[in-house]
Amino acid sequence: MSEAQMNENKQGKLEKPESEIKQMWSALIQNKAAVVGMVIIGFLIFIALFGKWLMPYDPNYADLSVNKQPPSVAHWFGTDEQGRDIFSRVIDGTRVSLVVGLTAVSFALCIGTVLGAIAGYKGGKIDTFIMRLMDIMMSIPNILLAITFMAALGRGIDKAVIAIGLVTTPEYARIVRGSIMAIKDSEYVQAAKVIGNSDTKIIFKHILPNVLSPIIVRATLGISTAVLETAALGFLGLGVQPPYAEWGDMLGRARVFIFEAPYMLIFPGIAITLTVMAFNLLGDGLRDAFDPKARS
Amino acid sequence: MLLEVKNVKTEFKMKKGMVKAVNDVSFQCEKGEILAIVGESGSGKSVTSLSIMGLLARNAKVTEGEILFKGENLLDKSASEMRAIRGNQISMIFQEPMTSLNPVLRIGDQLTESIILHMKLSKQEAMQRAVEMLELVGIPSPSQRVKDYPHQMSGGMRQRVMIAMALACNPELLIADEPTTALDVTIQAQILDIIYRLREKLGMAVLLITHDLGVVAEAADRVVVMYCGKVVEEAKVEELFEKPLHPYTMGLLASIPRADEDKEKLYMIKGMVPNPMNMPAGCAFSDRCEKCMSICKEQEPAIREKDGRKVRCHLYTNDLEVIH
Amino acid sequence: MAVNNEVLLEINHLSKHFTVEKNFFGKPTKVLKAVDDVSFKIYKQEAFGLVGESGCGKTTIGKMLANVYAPTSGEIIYNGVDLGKLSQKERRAYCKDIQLVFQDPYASLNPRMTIGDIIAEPIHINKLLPAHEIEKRVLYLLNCVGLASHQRNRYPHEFSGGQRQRVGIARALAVEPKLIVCDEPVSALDVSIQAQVLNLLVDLKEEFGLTYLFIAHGLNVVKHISDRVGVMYLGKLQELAEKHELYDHPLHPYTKALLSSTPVIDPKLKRNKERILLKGDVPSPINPPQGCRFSTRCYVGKLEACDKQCPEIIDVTGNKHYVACHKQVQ
Repeated sequence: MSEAQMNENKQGKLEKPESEIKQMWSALIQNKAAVVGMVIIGFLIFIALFGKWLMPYDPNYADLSVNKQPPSVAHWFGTDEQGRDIFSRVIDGTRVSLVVGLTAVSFALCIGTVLGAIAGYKGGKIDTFIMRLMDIMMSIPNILLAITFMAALGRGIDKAVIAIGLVTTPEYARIVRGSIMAIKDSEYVQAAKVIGNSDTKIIFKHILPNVLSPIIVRATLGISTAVLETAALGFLGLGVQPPYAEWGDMLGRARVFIFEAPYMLIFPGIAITLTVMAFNLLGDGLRDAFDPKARS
Repeated sequence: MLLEVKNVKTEFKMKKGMVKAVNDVSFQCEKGEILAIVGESGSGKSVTSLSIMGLLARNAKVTEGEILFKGENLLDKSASEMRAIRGNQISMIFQEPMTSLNPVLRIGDQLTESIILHMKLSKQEAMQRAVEMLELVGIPSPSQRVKDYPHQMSGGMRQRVMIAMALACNPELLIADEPTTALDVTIQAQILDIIYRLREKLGMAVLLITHDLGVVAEAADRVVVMYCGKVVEEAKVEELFEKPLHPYTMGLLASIPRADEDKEKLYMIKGMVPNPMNMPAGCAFSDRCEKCMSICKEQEPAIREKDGRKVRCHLYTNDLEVIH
Repeated sequence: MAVNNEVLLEINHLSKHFTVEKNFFGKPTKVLKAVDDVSFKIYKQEAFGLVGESGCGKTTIGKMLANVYAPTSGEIIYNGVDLGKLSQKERRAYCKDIQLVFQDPYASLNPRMTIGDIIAEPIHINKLLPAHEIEKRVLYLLNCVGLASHQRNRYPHEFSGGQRQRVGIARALAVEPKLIVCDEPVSALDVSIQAQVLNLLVDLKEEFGLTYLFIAHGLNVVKHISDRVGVMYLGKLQELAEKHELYDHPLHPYTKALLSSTPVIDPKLKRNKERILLKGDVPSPINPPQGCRFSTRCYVGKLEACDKQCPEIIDVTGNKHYVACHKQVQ
């Protein structure tokens, strides 16, 4: 019996554990860049939810009499070639970008985690098969592969989600597999086996929670990639179908007017940059917050 | 006197403030002597050796004291002057022979690097010297092995290469930081034997940093015992093992299982090493000491010294007589 | 420490081979024989020590007993049942009888579970107690290993190495095991903490009537805690005897070298001591020497058989002192 430890707390009260999430949160809000990212994301979510009531005009209402107007008091961001209000369209596009970004990443995350977990824990031939398939997918440039999927699936926002999701799956599969391989033979996983856990329980209770942090960080950074890819597909005319507003699509249409009406590109461009930057800042912040060594 | 460490204080800058890793440490090391510094983790023994080498981490600094090497204060030296001394007059071997060698360079190239740099030899002469050094540390067919990469050698072999590298420029002082901790017992015996033999042959002094009292008993001439950044006892090795004075040293010696005795129970030093951010007032060992008196909790004991034997404890008078 | 005559566990010709390299078709081309044809018995309530240097296979034996690895061949007979022949599901039922204390207290506790949950988990899994009694048991176990109940909800990283090792011991005790495999339980700890943990292990053994398989590389530690000691080298058991017999009258040249290499905590003795310094390093277990495993480093005049034939381990003195050496047979 060691007295020193007993003396630490003479009242013998059961200490409340300081939860992991609490510690992470306090580390996260100390990181200024991450806070900036979170504020921007909060702002974007607000816009996506309540944008409807903030828009001065119907984003799809074309009034050719006011087309290609530079920014003014009436049209803060100007109007496009069909006379639609760019400010309203940028607001409307927020929803599409966020929804596509989030769903595409969740889709990729689910498939990637399952594939990576199977490959990493089972090993052997299953591992070789899954990972070679992922390697093949990764060897093709993302956007090219996404276009191929779109060509097979057809146009539309739902198809864009699937295409972007599929294209980014290998990254998650790789991260999950790598993290699982790294701790699969660790002593506490062996310890879990010694006390009689089944394989499924070992994976879900002892392995996955411990590899969650790199996956979440990657997913946060992945949202920005997905937003960019949605924009790229939109730019190529493969994303959202007219007349709905989407930032990439807006850029694509404005391309021809780049010298005549640069504001048509600038504002959706700023929106994309801001979103991508916000998720990157948050992702970097999370990476530090998840690392207990960086935290203390 | 080859090395004199005088009242050295090394502090680390942490988020929560300054931490004194080494606190007022003094000792001396003579030519050709093997001086052991023993202590547990957190005792400051490794930080002491890094302070001497000038290899402290960026957030650490020697804030007080002097480190005299052949009469010159190493703390006053510039970075480039220290580089000329390191690897030449003072060299060091580390605990982990696996990571201390560059994996992409051949053994021979790593050995000749510092020989060419410090001894101003030609490449061929340096290679000649490298082969001699490998032979000296007992590596079979050394002229073949210089072409090997580190991964082709076992842990014991690599530690020998490290020793060869450290000794290549005839240093006057070798700092060995836990040189055998990562090795098996039979290999440990070989390495200690090499260090012991080379000391006799080359006349260098060795500063042996270790936590293992067995290694100390086997190899050292004199011992400095450290606890929580301070020297608590210093003695000749025979004296220390025969009659330890500080309660911490007594406790350590009694708590080791020995092959030559049978005991049901080992002696236990109760509790744990205190957190450096939250040291007890007075003597740092007072919380764990069986002979703790009221003064121990109030006043930090000063070093008492007699005939080169030192102890930092309130139990003794200035002549090292026990106070009753 | 009276040694019982009832056998608790017996291993017969136990081997474990790991595949290091496979060819294109998945056939093993390089095999590491971590444990090669080892047999011994562990009696009820004894402490059986296993010593040897890194790579000798001692840890692998421990982990086979605790169901971390499945044996390649051979038998593990526990209470008359051959555990190797059971399916994974049936095998798990014996987990509660044989538990393992790991070497590295930093790596063997799940960093995301509180220490109380870590100790409660084996009780849950093996359905040993109704849910409302588990908490009481967890607190009791914490006290048994010298931790305070209020620390129940802390995470492993808040503890020192010695305290974590206590948690690991409490987890092993939770299922009321008969046999605990202690795999180098103190080698990662500071000297003053080692004594605390060793004394705890001795106390618990008395209190719960446990049997230990105590694995370590330090001969002093093994002698302190064990009743009988086995010496391993390169996957083979080389010598096995009661501890005083083994330490006072070692027969195998490797055991002699090991004993003579172990530092003596007495600077006066070292100068008179005749030291056997082995030449070279332990050969790779992927390609071990033909014949006696120790033949490449043996310093005693060689016989013809040493290079050709692996010696059997036999009782040479008739005093239950087993040794695997050709020279002892003559």
